[in-house]
Amino acid sequence: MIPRLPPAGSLRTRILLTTGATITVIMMVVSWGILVQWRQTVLAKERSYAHAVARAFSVTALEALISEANELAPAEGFLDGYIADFMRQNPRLRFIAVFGPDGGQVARSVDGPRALAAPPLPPADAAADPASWFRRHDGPGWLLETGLPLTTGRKCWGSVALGFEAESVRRELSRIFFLLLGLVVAITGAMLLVLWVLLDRLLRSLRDLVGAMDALELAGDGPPDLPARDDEIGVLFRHFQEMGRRLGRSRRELISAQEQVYHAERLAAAGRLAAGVAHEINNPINGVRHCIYAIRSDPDNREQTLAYLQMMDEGMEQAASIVKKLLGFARKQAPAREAVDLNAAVASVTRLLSFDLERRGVELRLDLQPDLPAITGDTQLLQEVLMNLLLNAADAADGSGAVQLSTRAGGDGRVRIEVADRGQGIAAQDLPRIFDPFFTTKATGEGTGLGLSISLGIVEAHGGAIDVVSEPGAGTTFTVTLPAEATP
Amino acid sequence: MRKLKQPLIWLVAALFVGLNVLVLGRLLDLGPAAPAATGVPAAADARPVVRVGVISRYAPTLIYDAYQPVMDYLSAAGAHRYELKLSASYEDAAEQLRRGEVSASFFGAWIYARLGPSLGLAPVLAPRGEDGGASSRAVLIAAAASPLRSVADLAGRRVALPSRDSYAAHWFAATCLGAAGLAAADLDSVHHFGYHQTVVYRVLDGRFDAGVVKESVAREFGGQAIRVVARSGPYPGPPLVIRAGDRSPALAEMVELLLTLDPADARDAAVLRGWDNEFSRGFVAVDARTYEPVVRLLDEGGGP
Repeated sequence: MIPRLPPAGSLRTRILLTTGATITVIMMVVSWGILVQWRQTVLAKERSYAHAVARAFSVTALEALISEANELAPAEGFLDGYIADFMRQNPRLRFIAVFGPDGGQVARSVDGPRALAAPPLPPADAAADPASWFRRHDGPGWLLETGLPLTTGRKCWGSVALGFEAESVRRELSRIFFLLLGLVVAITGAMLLVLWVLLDRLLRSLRDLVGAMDALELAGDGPPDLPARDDEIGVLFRHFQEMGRRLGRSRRELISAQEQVYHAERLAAAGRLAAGVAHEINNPINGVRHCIYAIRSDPDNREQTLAYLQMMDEGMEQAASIVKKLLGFARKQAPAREAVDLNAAVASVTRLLSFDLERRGVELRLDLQPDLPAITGDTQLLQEVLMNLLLNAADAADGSGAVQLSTRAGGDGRVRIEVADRGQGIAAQDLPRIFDPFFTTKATGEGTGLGLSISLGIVEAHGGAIDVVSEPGAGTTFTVTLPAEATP
Repeated sequence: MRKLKQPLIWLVAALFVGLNVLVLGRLLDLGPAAPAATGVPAAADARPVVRVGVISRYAPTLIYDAYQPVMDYLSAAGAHRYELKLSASYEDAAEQLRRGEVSASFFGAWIYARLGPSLGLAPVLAPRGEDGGASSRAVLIAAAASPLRSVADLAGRRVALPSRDSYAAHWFAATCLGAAGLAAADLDSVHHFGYHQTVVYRVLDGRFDAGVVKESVAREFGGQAIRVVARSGPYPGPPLVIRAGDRSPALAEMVELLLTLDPADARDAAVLRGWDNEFSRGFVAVDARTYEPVVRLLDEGGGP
C-alpha cells in the first residue's frame, strides 16, 4: 500500500524549514546591516555633539590659558567657575578637565552626584585632532570621552577632556536591537504562516490528484472527475485526465491488436495442419471415389450399391468432421467457460497431427492418466496450447525419434501436461527469451515467434503456468500446470 | 555524504547562532577601546626663546590667531623659538620692550610715534603696502545700502572708530572731517572700538552709520555689504619695533626671515596666505625716518 503523502519529512516540512531558515538568515543579515548603520549614525551623532560641546568649551578655556600665560589673568577662579557653569548647562556632562601643555592638570570639574570620581587623564596626543571614545567606568557606566587640543597655529596650550554620559546611547542601541529582533520574529512568523496556508492548499490539491490516480481504472469509464481550477494545479488536473483518456484508448487498441495476433497465429497453425488435414480428407474421398467406381461397375447390384453408399456417407461424415475441426482452429471466438477433458483435447489434437508426425518420422508416445480431473476453461484455447507445444516438439525432434506427451493429476489440486522431446534442446542464452513475442530460432518464414508467447498468455489466463527444462543435445520438456478449477 | 549532511547542517546553524551572538554583542557594546591616555607632553623645544610683544587690544585668542602663524614661521625657519607676549596696553608693551622682556614688539604707527622716540625704540620693518613701500591707508566705510555718499553726509550720523591710539582714528578726526567742513560736534555720536573688525561689524549690523578702519581690514570684508566712502592718503604702516641699537643675532635672524619673504615666490606666498591680511604682501625695512611724518602730525597736536 503506497501512502497518499508521507506524514513526516514531507514536502511541507522541508519547504517550511528551508524557507524559514532562509528568511531568518536574510532577515538577520538585513537587521545586522540596519543595526550597524544605525549604530554608526547614532555614535557619529554623539561624537559630533561631544566635539561641538568640547569646541564651545575650549574657546573660553584657551582664552583663560593664554591670558594666564601672558599674565593677563582674568578674575581669580575664572576657569573653575566657568567649568562649574558649563557643567550646569550641559546635564549630560560627567567631567571636564583642562590640562596644560606639559600634561599637568590645570582645572577640573568638582566631583558630585553625577560627576566622575576618578580624575580624568589628558588625551594621548594633545596635538592631534579632536578624538572621542567610549569607556565604561565602574560608577557611571559608559561615558563618551572627548579630548581636544588647545592650539593657536602650531602652539599648543594644553588640552581639554570632557566626559558625557553614554548609557542612554547604549539603551538606544538596545532598543533598536530588540525592535529589529521583534521585527525579524514577526515577519518570519507571518511569512511562514502564509507559506503554511499556501502549502496546505497546494498539498490538498496534490492529495486530490493522488486519489484520482489511485482511482484510475483503464477498463473503467475514463478518469475520475477532479475539481475545476484556473491555476497550474488545474492544468495538471486537466493533463492527468487527458492522460487517462489516452491510456484507455491505448488499452482498447492493444486489446484489438492482441485479438488480431491471436487470430493470425491460429490461421498460421491451421495452415501448418493443412498437409495432414488434406491426407485425412483424401482418404475418405478416395474411399468415396472407389465406392463410386464400384457402383458404376455393377450398378444393378443393389445390395452392393447400398453398402457402398453407406461407406460413402461415413467417408463424407469423416471429411466433414475434419473440416469442422480445422475451422474451429481458424475461427475467432470469445473465450469459453466450460469443463475441459484434457485427455480428450490431447486426443483431438494428436488426431490432427498424426499424419504430419508420421510423415516427419516422429513417434508420438502418449501417457495419459485415465481418471484425470476436468478443468474449467476454453477447450479451443487449450487445444491451441497443446498444438503449439506438440508442433515445436516435433520440429525439435524432427528425424530424431519420439515426442512424449503425458498428463498427470498432482496432489496439490493441479493438473500437469508434459511435452518432452529428445531433440537438440534450447541454448542456455535463448531460454529466458523463448516466451517473448516474435522470438524464434527457426529460419525466416518457418515460424512467427508468437506460438509460445500466445500459449503462455492462454495458460496464465487459466491461472496456470508453463515451465521449461532444456539441455542442449538432450532435449526439452515443457510442463503446463493448470488448476483443476481454472477459469479463463 | 548523506550521513554527514545533517551534522553539517547543525554545525552551520550553530556557527550562525554563535556568529550572531558575537556580532550582536559587539554591536551593543560601545567600544572601541579608549586610546591609552599617557599625558606625556610633546618633546620640549630646547632652543633659546625670543619673545615678541603684541598689544592685546581685543580677545587674546584672536591676537594669537593673527600673530601665532608668524611665530610658527620664524620658529620653523630660524634657530630660535619665537613666542608671543601679550600686553594689556601700548604703554605696557613699550615698557616690556624697554626692559628687555621682549626682543621686539608689533606697534601701531601712531603709538610708535607717540612712545617710540622717547623710550629709545626703533622701527625695523613694516607690512608692505600696495605701492611696495611701507604705506598703509585708512578708509571711511558705510553699509552698501546706506544713503551716505560723502563725508559731508556724516552730519548727524553715528560713527564707529578704532582705538584712539590708531592712525586711522586720528586721520578721521584731524583730516577727514575737516576736509569736508565738519567737526566732531556735527556728528550724532562717535565710539571707539579696540578692534578694527569690530568697527566693520557695528556698521554692518546698523548700530553705526559709518566707520573708519585700516584699508587692509576693509578688504577682508570686500565680499560683504560695505562700501568705501573716503580713503586717506598713504601713511607708514604698523612697525615691528626693537630697542634702538639692539644687534642681537635673534633680532637679525627675525628681521631677515621676515624681509626675505617674497609674495611672488610660490612657497612664500603659501606661507603668507595663512597670516593676517595686513601681512599678505610681506614686509619692507623701515627706520625712524619713515615715521617722521606721523611724529610731526602728533607733535602738531592732531588726534581724535
